[in-house]
Amino acid sequence: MREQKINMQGITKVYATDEMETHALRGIDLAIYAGDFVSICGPSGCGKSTLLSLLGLLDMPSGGSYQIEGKEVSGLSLSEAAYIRNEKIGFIFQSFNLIDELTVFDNVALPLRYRRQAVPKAELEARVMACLKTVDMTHRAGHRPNQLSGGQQQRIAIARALVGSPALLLVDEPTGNLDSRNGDAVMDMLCELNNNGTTLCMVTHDPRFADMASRKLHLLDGRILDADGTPLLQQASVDQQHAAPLRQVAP
Amino acid sequence: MISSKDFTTALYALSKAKGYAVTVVLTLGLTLGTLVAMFNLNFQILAAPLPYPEEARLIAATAAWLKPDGSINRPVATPKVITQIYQQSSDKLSDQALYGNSDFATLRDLPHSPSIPLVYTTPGYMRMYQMPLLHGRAFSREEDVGSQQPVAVISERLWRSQYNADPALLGQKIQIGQIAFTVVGIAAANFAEPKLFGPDTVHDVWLPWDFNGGFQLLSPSGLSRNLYYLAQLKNANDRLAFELEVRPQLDALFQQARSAANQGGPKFSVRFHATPLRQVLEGDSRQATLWMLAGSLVLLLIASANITNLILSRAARQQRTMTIQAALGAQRHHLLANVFAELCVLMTAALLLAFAIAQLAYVLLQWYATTTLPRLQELGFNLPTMLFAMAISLLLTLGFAQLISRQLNYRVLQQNLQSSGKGSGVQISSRIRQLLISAQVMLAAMLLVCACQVLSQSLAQLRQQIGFATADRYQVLLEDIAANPANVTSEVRAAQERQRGAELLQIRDLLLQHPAIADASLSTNAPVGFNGVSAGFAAYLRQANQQQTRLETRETRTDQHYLPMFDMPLLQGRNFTAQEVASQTPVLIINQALAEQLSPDGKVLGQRLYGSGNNQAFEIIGVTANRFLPAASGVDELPYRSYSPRAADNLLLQLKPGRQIDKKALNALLQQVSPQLRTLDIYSIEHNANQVLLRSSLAAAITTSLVLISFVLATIGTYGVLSYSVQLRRFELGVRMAIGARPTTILRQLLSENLKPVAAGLVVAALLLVALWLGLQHTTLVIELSAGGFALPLLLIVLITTVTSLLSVWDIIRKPAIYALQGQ
Repeated sequence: MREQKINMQGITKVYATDEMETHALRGIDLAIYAGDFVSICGPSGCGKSTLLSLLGLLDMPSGGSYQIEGKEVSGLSLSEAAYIRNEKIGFIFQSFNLIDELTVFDNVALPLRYRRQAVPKAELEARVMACLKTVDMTHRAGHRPNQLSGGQQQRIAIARALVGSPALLLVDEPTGNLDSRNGDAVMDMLCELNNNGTTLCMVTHDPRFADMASRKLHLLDGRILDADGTPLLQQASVDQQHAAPLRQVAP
Repeated sequence: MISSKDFTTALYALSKAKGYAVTVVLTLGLTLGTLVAMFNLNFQILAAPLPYPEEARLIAATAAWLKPDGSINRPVATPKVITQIYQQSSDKLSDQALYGNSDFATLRDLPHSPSIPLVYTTPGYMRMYQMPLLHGRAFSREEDVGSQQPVAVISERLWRSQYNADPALLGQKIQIGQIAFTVVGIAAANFAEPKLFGPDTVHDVWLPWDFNGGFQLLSPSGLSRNLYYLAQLKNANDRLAFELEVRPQLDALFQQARSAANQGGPKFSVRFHATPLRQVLEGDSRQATLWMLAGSLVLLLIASANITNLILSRAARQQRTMTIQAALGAQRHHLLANVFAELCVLMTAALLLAFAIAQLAYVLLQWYATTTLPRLQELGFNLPTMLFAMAISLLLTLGFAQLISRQLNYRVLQQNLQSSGKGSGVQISSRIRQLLISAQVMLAAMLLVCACQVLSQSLAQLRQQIGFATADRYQVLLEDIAANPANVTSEVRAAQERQRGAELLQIRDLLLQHPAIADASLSTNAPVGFNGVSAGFAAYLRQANQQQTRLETRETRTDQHYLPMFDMPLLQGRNFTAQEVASQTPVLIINQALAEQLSPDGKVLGQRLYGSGNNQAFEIIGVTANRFLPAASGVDELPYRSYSPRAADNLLLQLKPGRQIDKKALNALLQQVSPQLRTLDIYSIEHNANQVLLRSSLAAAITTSLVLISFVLATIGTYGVLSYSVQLRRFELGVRMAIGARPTTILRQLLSENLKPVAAGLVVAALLLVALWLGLQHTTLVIELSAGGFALPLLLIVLITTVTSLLSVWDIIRKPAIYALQGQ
């Protein structure tokens, strides 16, 4: 049996303002296993980005349980969440989000520099260069992000996401800012990483890239839809979500 | 074009950013208010017209007493000689007056004998200054010098407070000394009396020059500081010609008077000076008020720099709103209109607050600075000040708007739109951020260092012990109501003085037996008098007949009770004996400063000093500790002090703790010895000293406020620039947090990054301060540097940087990373 990396049960996210509440996620059950390549798609406003933020501990759920490698993480402090994010999760953003002032090397090294235990310099260099080699960008190590093309920047972003050996790679519209050639190259790279055992969870609009995943999840109005378009969760109301039995999405 | 909708929107936006709005309004209101107040003060003193017609033709003349080498010994006037000049008149004058011997006297026609300020003058004074009269008339030409007409004009204040505003007083007599004066006029309360004897000097009675008893007693060449020869020139350009015309006449008359009196010694002379009235009234306040104006301008500039940072920070926060506006089709000028409307709202509020602050400043100035600055009572709203305040506000508004306009990068906003709100955010280079921080720290450090240096100097002066006891010590002014005919022989006068001296000694001995009195002394002066004067002048020669060894001291003639009464310790030698006081033995007690001047080791007992006029030898029998009371306004202060044994007519009392003695009790006691002596007034020496120290206290209070304002400004500015810097980095920090940076890591990183520009700012500030210090070496300003004045600002800057770093990033690190990534 494969190791369970992610286990979400009854996850909700509510954004509240003075006037109204917006239910972005209405009880998400989701399990991701080692080596999975899960794609999440759905129309705008369905909650894809919110789900990705919760998966990446960028935000905390309003309700439900969330475990990473068996450890409950839904109630962590910001500092503890940062440690988990640093050690277990790698991010690839649509707009790369490299830091302009740092070189390519330093951008990639950044997660290691935030480690709880300082990484020895030699090991850090070796890991950074290894990641850059994976994305075929070692020759650009001393450059600044603004000296690179979009495709190159995204490859650097992938290297940065990999350098910490995360349990899960979260990918947000990786090809959104790239032309088709560079987009295809990045997707090929991600597939190759998955083939080599990296667990991936990707948000995308593009059905072509969504089909490349081993599991496709459709989101609508904050719920995961079944293959026939009905929500997997059958509770009558959102209020009952926490109490209701949860069904796990089978791999 | 700005519409009312823009203002409504601006008001709503500011209501959602109360901290920002309050900070901007308070900072600008406070500093602009200070600048407005200082502008008005300078306007009143330097530019506002005097309340007299044709002020350019009005002059106030006096003389300088010159040493044999031609250098000015002291500004004085020669009352009798100037009276002769007055009587000769000049064809360059259209009017003239004598004005002087401003003093206190008791109104003896009233049962409680109130002490009132009076001055002697001639009819021209009331003409030239157009004294408005509530009732009666001014002095007439028939009451000029030599007429001996006992008439008086009194103030409306005195008329109301002491005579119940009785109209029948006109034509009645009031008793001052031995003379009954007929009241011929009551000067209206709106009479703007020219404050020639100090900014806070007012008079309640004006008497004719002929009854000027103090001057009558002077020798023909006698000198006094208490006199002005006032004149109105026919032509304002004739001032120097008039001065040159009178100068030789005055000196010739002076020399004649000295020859007639067989006055030997060095050849002193007098030099006549005719000064524009405005200049005399201004006194030495011009430099002080201009410095105050410059200081307040610097404060406003620093505040503006701080506000600039805050405004930039807000603009960075508003980028998302502007992006949306641009998406909806807003052009650059639409966005600027919003910004300008918001600035207008802020500046209007700041301007209103500034007017309130300025009013408060006027009250404080009128409260604390009336003795040092002229024309404070005239401070208030006036058109030039209003226009100045509005012009400065407008300039600031336009300046800030221009700044934001430059900052507003429409193209970047468009790019933000293209990334559909998921954009990479604007990343501003660290170099620009660090430059901003460095500039802010440099300003803050300079401001804090300057303020702290001045504060430490003021506090040191306040902490300094003054060198004599003041608690329960009182100065009693006595009035001799005996007739003092001017034409008595010197022998008769000497006999009268001997008799008065004997009576005063009896009074002192009686007082020493009084159950409320611990000690009593008869001296020429109290250690600090009600008018700030602490002693007369004396001149001694270190070697007999050697005028070049002359040195001047501040001398008190006193008895054996003086030094013990004021706890003034004798460092060497002994006190006077009763016998020495009675016989006026030529011995001296001097202070440590003079002792060290005479002999480097300060051992001077037995040494002799010689009278500068008659070469009489004085033996030094004691040395007292120095005293450290700053000079009162307008009073010359010398470091050297001497005490000679001779009882004088200033009664000094030390009461037993908790006991009191009033005028009535003292008068009853005086009556036992002499019916001619009355208590004129009783002054607390503690109060006298506090009055003199008020300047230092005021300086300390002002500089403490300055340090606090500097600290607040520095904090606001540093927070503004750091907040701005963090806002620009919000997205970048979000990315860092997304890949695992903890809140403490972000804070630590910010602190370490901020310390570099902070250090750079401190270095630049240090260099500028050194340059400033070197520049000040070429001025008359004396700067004593203190280590604390450097250490405290350094600590404060580090504290401010740490706290504001935390505050500026707190909003980001206390929320999950997604908020920063989404620009929330």
